[in-house]
Formats: sequence, C-alpha cells, structure tokens
Amino acid sequence: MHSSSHPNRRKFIRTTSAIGAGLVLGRPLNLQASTMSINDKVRLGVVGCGGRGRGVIFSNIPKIPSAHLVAVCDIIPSRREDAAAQFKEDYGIEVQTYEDFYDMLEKEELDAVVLTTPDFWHMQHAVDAMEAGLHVYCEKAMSNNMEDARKMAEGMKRTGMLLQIGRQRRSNDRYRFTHQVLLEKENMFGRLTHAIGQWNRSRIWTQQPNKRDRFKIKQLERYGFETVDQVYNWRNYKELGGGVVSDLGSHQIDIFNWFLGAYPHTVYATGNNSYFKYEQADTMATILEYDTPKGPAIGIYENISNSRAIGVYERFIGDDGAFIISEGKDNKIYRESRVKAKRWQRYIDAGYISNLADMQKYREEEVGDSGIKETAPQISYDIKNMVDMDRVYNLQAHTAHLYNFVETVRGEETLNYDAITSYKSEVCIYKIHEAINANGGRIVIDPSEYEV
Amino acid sequence: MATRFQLSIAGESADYAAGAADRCFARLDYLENTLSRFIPDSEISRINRLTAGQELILERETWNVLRQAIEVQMWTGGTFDIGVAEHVDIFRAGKQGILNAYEVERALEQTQATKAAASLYLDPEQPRLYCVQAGMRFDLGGIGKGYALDQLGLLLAEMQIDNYTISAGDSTLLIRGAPNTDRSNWQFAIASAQDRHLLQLTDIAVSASGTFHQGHHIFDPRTGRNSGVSQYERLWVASPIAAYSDALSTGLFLLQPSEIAELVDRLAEISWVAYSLEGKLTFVGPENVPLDQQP
Repeated sequence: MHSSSHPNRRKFIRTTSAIGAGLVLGRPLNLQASTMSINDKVRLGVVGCGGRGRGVIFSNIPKIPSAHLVAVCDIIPSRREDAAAQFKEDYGIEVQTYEDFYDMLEKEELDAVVLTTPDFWHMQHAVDAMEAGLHVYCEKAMSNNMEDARKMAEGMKRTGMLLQIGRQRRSNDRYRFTHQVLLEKENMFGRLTHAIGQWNRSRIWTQQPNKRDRFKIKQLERYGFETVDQVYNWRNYKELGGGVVSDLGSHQIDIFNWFLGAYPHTVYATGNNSYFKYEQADTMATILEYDTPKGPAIGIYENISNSRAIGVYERFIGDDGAFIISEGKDNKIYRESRVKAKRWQRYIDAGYISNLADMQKYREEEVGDSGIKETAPQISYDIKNMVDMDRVYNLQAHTAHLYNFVETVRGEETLNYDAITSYKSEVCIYKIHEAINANGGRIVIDPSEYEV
Repeated sequence: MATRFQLSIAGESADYAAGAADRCFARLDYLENTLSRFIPDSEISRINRLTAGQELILERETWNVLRQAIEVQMWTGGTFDIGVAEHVDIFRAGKQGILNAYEVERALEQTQATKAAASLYLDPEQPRLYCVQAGMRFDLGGIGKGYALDQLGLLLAEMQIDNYTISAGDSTLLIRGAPNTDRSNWQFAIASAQDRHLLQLTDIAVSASGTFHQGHHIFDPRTGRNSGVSQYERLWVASPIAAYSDALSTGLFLLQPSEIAELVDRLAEISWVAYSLEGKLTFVGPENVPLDQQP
C-alpha cells in the first residue's frame, strides 16, 4: 500500500506541534516507519537496463513499498553492473546481475519480471515467464507484429498470470480522472466528435555506445542483433521495432480509444522516411474512423520528427466543450459558448475544475468582477481536485502503472491495462503501420480482429 | 525551464559529442518533467498538492535540489525562498487583469500568512517529504536551471567527457576542463557600464542576476511583496556547484555588501562574488578570481 495513505504513517500530523516551521530539513515528531515485511513484498527482476529500465529501477521501484528488486538483466555488462552498483549505493540492497534472461529465471525466486527490452523480444520472454508461473509487466509495444502481440494476450488468458502493458497514461491520475469523472460520470463535454493528437520531436534520437560498453558480435547475434547500432537504435529497424506510430503514436491513439469508448473500424495512413532515411518512417499521419456509443467520431494523429515546437498532446472536441491533455504543459479545458456558465459552475463547486488560473478565490465576491482595467485573458479551466474517483495514486504515471501491477500481484488491485485491452489498441496500430509500409492506404478493420 | 540551453564539448569526435548532447537534452526533458511546477504531473506539482498528513517518496533529484534550496535559504536569511509559487501566480494574475490592485494586495497578505503557518519536513536521511501543514507551494525557478547543469555534468562525467561548457539561458554557466590542449581554461567576460574583465575559468559554475532586464522592484520573500530594492545593477556568484551559484545569485541580490563579504568568507560553496555598483565592478573573494588582471 502506498505510504501516503498508510494509517500508521499519518500519526505525525497529530503529534507534531511545530506548526509554522516552513520548509525544514527534519522529520516530524513520532513518525512511525513502514512495517511491511520483506516476505510481503513482490520479488522483481528487471530485464533491460537501458533508459527505460533505469527508470524502472531507480525512479519507479524505490517508490513502491511493496516492490523488492532482486535481479537485473542486460546483455551489456556495464549497463547491468552499473545499475546494480548504483542501486546498492543508493538503497543498500544487493541486486544480482544476469546476461541471460533464462539463467535469471532459473536461479532466482521471482514473483514477476519487468521487461524493458526491444519490442522483438517481448513476446518470447513474456510468454515463457508466464508459462514458468511469473507475472509480467511489459513495456509497450507488446511486439512489432500483430501475431506476436496476440500470442501474448492469449498467453495471459491461458496461464491465468498477470500481464500489464506499459502505456502509463492509463495509470496517470489526471487521465483517469478525466475518463472516470469528467467523461463517464458527468458527460461534461457531450458527444466527443474529434480526437486529435501529435507527438513532435526535433529529431529521431540515436544513441552511441558508452565508452565503457564492450561487445562481441557473436554475443550480440545470440540475442538477435546483427550490429552494435541495432543494440542501441533498434527502434529504427523494421525487424526489431514497430516504428514511430508504435513507439509514440500508440500511447496517444490508445487514449483516443479509451476516451471515445470504441476502436476504429477504418484507418487511413501514410508516412515516409524522407527526413532521416532510416528503415522506419520518421513522418506519418493517420485518420481513424470510429462508431462510438454516442455517434461517429474521427481521430487525427500525426508524428513529426523534425520539429518539437508544437509539443506532445491529445485534444478532444465535444458538443459541449473541448479539452487538451498531455503529460507536459499543455492541459486546458474549454466550455463551448452554447453551454451556460451556470451549468459548469457545479463542476467548479464540486472542486473538479478551476477557472482564471485558480485565482478567482481572491476576487471580491460582492463586486462581482475586478473592475475596469486591462483586457482579461480568455476563460479556460484547469483540473483542480481529483476527487470522486476510485483512487488517486499521486505518483508519477510510470510509477503508478508499475505500482498498480505490483499491488495487483498482491491481490490489492486489478490491472489498469492488461494485455487483452492493450491488444485491442495495438491492432489498429499494426494496421496503420501496415498502411505506412505500403506507401499509404485505407484499411477496414473487422470487429472480430479486436477479439482475443 | 523556459530558457535556452547551450552545450559546447571539446576534444571528442563529432558523433560522440552529438550523442552526448542528445542524452543531455533528454535528461533536461526528464528534469523539466520532474521539477517544473507548470507540469501538473511533475513531482513538484505533486508536492504542491499535498494536504496535511500526507507524505511523498521523492526522486533523488528532487530530494537533492530541495536540500540545496533549504541550505541557501538559511545562508541568505530568507532572501532566497522556493515557497513562493502562490505569490508569483498572484503577481501574474494582477498583470493579466484577473485581479485588480486591491485584490492583489489582499491576496499577497493572505498568502504570506498562510505560508507562515505551513510546515513541510524534508527527511534528511531518505528521499521523503512530509506535509504537516499545507500552505506553501514550491517554485524552483531560482535554482532549477543550476541544478540541471549539475545533473548534466554528472551525465557527461559518466560518458567520460571532461572538457565542456553548458549555459542555461546565459545566466548560469557550468565550465569543465579546457577548450583545447593549448589552454588550461575557458575565457569569459563580465562587464559593467564602466568596467570589463576577462575571466579564465575551469571547473566552476558562474551565475548572474540583475535588474537590467527586470526593473528595480524586486520580490522579497521575507515580506511577500515587491518591496526589495537592490543597489546592484548586476551580481555574479561563482561556486563549484551550479545549483548554489544559481540560487545565491538571486539570494545575494538583496543583501548588503558587508553581508555578502561575510558569506563569501564563511562558505566554501562560494568561490567568489562580483557585483556592478554605480557602473563599477567589485570583486569579493578576489584571491579566487581567475582574472586576466586582478581588480
């Protein structure tokens, strides 16, 4: 259980008298430590110690009191050894290191593995781990092809083990609040007619090996890589990764599907690699057609790799309002002029949203406005208090998503995003990828293709 | 961080340097997403939403920068203070016309009182923060850029890159090694209306703060108002650690010359300070100033 809501840690408020201390270095009086036994924790092995793997090891796991890191695995010795050494230094915990995934499975008593490896390895490791009786948290995408992704979803069904896929927006408090409260409970925006998303980057990031990294080509071949560049920049190769729509677009198109409550029946897509000349497309655009429970809707998504000026966001347009949501700075809610302010006042009164940058609380109520002065800014709203929902993690989304997985392993929660739900979103991603690889096209998706 | 970062790497191949630069900018994105209060999912935003009785396990980066912020707040007697986000928002609301002047004054008064009653504890032994009494929101604008430079320095050290400069918005500079084998340091100028000096710098961070671009009314966290009046046109602080140089360049701006001299004398974290006063440059701790000529 996350400590921010743990009852025996709350005693400090009642026993601390130093009200008005400001920000100080110290601990509140009579603070009680967490009492979770090591035996109650979920024993984890992390596979892949690159950028995302290090995030799991150093940013996510240490914030989950019920998670216990036992082993790390990577084919690059310096990556796995550095990760273990730093974890020992930071947390005083000895972590075992492995080059080979199956060696780790055999020697360690694990409850679950976290896969932060290239896409083409996900299926085999995930299915083999589940067959061995382990639960699996796997970074998105499930795979770089629909057949393997399907095998993962089927594997979860067959074995009864847990398989959570790493699309972390599904555990982001604000996204969950928007879905649960603003969309489902309040129908605040009416019928959603459009979903628009972009992920804009200045360039496709390619990595160079660290000076300390050492390889033997024979060793790399054993793990499916033909060159050193493939190890570091596997996303640029069609045999190893799923391309930009899979790496980036799938996060956002999954949000389209979630918020619209439907999966597209038709996709139009095109793309090219004219900018960076890698195997995978660096520029793409797609239009998705939906039949949602409230009526038809259109999704428009694009990925740009030569400018980050416009950022990363999802926008939704409805009859009664619109909103922009992102994991960055772009987050706003707008009321359509045909909807009376009075109707939305109840959302303000409920504490769901604030307007005027939450400064209205300082305005003189008896006057009703702030007088005649400079032109006031456009009225927009922000999410304020995330209340009236099943739970608030108050954790960074990646941590919350892994927390949800670990707590589900412990029987305390249910998965926010299992492999079957993920597979449905990935079907349309693979169809878009298929159209891009065919130099553009329109693909109709039969509803049965979404079923597992 | 709403500013421009520039990285110059010397003595490495173009490919390796470009790869390092990419990793640095990715690291900046991570730090921005962790430390910016304008990103609702950031750790600082989550701290700012804590209510009484709640606690948060922090990223090491957040823990470290908050500890440094507390140190600088104590050294400066509160002229540097990160707990002023609400004040900043009120000033902005005044400028935008959301609040009138009367409302701004009442809001500042109320906010300062709420802040005075707040109690937040940063655990010295582990990365945790406890909210005993809410009422203070953090803004790392005065220390975040410097802290980011220190983090990039660690990343470059991990990549075994020893010769570089990194600039955050031209106001904080982190300098390591030298530009080439013929030189032992990098050369930078600081100037006032009447003086200009070239500095030979290596393995140091330098930050500048001034009224040239922002006018003379300065926010003073001790009063919660724009009541501060500084006598300096510009002030520079050098430190081995960029987070300190950044925060101190703000914090020292409201102190008297004698108070600055006392801090330079007392704190190993300050290598030297320079300020421009009535158009002339004055150096404090000049034995540490690597000038082309001593002032």
